[in-house]
Amino acid sequence: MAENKHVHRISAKELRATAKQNIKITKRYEKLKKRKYIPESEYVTEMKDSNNVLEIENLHTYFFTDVGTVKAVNSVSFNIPQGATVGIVGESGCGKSVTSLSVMGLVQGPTGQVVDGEIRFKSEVLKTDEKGKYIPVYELDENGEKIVLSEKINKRTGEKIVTYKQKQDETGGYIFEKESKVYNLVRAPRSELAKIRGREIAMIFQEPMTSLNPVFTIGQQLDEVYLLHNPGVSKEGAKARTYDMLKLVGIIPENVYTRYPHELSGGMRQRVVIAMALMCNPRLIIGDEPTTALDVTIQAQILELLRDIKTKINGSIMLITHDLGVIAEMADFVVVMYAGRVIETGTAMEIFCNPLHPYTIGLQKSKPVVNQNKERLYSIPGNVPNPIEMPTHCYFKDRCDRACEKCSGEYPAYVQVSPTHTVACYLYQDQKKEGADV
Amino acid sequence: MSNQVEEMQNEVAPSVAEQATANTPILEVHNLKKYFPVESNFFGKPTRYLRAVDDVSFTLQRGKTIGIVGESGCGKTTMGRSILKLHDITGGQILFDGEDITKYTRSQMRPFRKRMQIIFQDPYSSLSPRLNIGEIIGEAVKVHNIVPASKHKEYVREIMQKCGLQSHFYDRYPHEFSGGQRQRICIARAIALQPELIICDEPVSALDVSIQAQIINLLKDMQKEMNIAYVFISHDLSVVEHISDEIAVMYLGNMVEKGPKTNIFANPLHPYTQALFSAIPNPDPRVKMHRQILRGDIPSPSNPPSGCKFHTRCEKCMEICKTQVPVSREVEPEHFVACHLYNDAKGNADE
Ligand SMILES: Nc1ncnc2c1ncn2[C@@H]1O[C@H](COP(=O)(O)OP(=O)(O)OP(=O)(O)O)[C@@H](O)[C@H]1O
Ligand SMILES: Nc1ncnc2c1ncn2[C@@H]1O[C@H](COP(=O)(O)OP(=O)(O)OP(=O)(O)O)[C@@H](O)[C@H]1O
Ligand code: SF4
Ligand code: SF4
Ligand SMILES: [Mg+2]
Ligand SMILES: [Mg+2]
Repeated sequence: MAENKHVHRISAKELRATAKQNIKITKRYEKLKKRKYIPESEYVTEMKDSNNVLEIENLHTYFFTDVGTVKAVNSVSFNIPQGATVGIVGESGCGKSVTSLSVMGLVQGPTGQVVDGEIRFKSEVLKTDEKGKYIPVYELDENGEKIVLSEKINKRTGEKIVTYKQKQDETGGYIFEKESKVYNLVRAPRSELAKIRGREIAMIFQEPMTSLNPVFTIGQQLDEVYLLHNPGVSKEGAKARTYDMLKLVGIIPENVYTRYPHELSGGMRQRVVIAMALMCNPRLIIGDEPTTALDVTIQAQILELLRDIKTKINGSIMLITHDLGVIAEMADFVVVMYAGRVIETGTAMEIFCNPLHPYTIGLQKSKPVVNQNKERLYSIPGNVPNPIEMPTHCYFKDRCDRACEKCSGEYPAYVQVSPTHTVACYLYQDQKKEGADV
Repeated sequence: MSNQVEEMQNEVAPSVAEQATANTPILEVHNLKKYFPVESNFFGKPTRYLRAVDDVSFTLQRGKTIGIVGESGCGKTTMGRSILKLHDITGGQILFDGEDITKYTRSQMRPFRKRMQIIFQDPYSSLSPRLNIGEIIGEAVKVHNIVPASKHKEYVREIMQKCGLQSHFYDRYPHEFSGGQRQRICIARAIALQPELIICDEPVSALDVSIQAQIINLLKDMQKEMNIAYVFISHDLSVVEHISDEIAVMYLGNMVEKGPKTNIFANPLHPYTQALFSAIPNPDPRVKMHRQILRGDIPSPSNPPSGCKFHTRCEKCMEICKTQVPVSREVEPEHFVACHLYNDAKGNADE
């Protein structure tokens, strides 16, 4: 077969050498992450643009495997503005999931490492006092005084302990003082990430079983998420919240609360995971193919729900999907990825009505449309280059029907064709304003 | 490129074709039922059942495709697994190539395993984490002697390439792949055995449109080449329309509408089918959708509504719908629907 000639067979010796090398590299990264104390100066930064909730800049996430380094994400930059939905599309295996896992700090170590770049997130953390305790917000009466709940005298010390009525949200969760901080999620310590995950950034995973534990019932798992992030909530409060969320995703709570994940259909599992993600009103929802396991009527319902929640809390959504119909309906901005890189960004209108990159154009041609009888579907010929040996020229060159001489040169720079529309392709190089930041 | 698959096909052709049975449908399903116990009494005897699949019948000819659509949780996966006898069934009859396999035991089913394959909805849990991709795809190829041992590796690589998996993936392990790549591994594993029937449970839902197109074209080519029949379960109606000859619509364990693809799309009869079709997203941000979003809770399959199971959410619900179960009628040739709206239609009742 023609293909085999290109396949570089690796000798056992080479394999061992790479394995050894990898251990050295990954150990260094792991050590950095595992430090007991990481000073705030290392991970607290500023946003470039304060209208954004998330800014990804020059992200590189590699997997150090025995056969070589897989550059799954190879310089990706884009922003998610407050209150906006950003859709991410791209060929299977182009690094969409790895990008989102990098944001969550869940890249599978030790082989997988974020080796470069910044992910800045505007977090609203609970403020702590000098003892490391959260500072409660108290309920005030009409005179602006705190309301006394009880007074007790400590018998041993004779000290008077007064408890005041703390503000609570509708499920009984206690409210604490918050402050706004910008974190670089790549450098933030694990303990900080754990506080952000699930509460401020929630992820709906591509495969629902990755976020469900097969040995616990649905109810136990959903309650747990709420209890974990909302100190002070009672068991009943959590259960009530779980019931509400399940109803929102179109599941009758009584039917699933006491059942195990394997007893649900694929789409029901998916919806349970969506309910779990929405549990704590996250400000950023990352949906990795959130609706692909769902039929169109429920998909419509879930999309409406996501939009509702977004407007209610002015949250943002990062929506990974290959369903162009969903993107067209939901997204304000679209990021098109190919082989670990961003190749085109723009508003939904620009990407759909005026796609520029030959890959984006090919993608739109491939979509089967109802009532359009075609014997064969169009599919972009060829394959993605091997992620271990990436070429230096445009990654799409071997499959591109418009490749020209220039394309064999170095990787094309970004061309800004409108204030919101950028593309990395030589075809548009004349339209100047080169080298623009994405 | 030498076409291994075609070559191989010629070698196995005589044993597979079984000329005598050429007109026997590859699959006949009669009144299939699968109930799951959801509550049991003190002695562990089930007291309440969830009717995941309730009285489903259809026939599938060799080399044809039936598309199965329907709401999440309506029993599509359960039906697919029941046909392959991956779990025991509650009632009904399954004929594979004219042979009644309903009561067959595990060991009796063994010879059929190669002939009928499934592509699972959740690729993640159906791939063994300890085998590399080459082994996953090649294991059964070896067991069933699809190709001579000397050609084994080459054959696996060729199948991989057809599914858009590059040959350098051969030695890697499932966890190192993206969702869509894993799905293609499952597809490669199924078609490598050159089966006669494949149950495809959402086979392309994790794939981007270009690879999706490639896989659908591949499935169609394989069908032509080897006369494979597909039961094609999918939520993506445009894909279903493209690949199917016939389409069946399920709701809460029942088959509510069934017919040739063109009839179903041009003239959907059942109110549920109509709502389903109105919700197809349009890949153009300029078009505002006129969706008929279904209101009302999805009823529980363990406690389904009386009469027509759809009556709690049906816009056209009539008095009769609340009490009487509609029977399936042939409203147009080959086009069956179970709905009281068509009681006056000429055709004869089916069951
Ligand atoms: N643990 C790992 N080890 C090695 N390579 C990996 C690992 N995880 C992912 N990869 C590789 O990284 C690349 C990007 O994977 P990713 O899961 O981000 O793709 P994706 O864009 O989400 O694709 P899909 O649409 O198919 O889900 C793929 O080529 C994949 O093979
Ligand atoms: N092992 C099981 N035990 C109990 N109930 C089950 C089991 N497997 C499935 N069910 C139930 O059977 C019903 C049908 O499930 P099935 O997986 O067949 O749905 P589906 O049509 O494939 O849906 P989806 O499109 O969401 O995958 C669901 O209500 C589900 O909860
Ligand atoms: S840079 Fe050249 S090869 Fe790359 S997409 Fe543009 S035209 Fe095609
Ligand atoms: S039988 Fe009645 S309730 Fe059921 S789908 Fe038809 S009109 Fe609607
Ligand atoms: Mg993915
Ligand atoms: Mg299913």
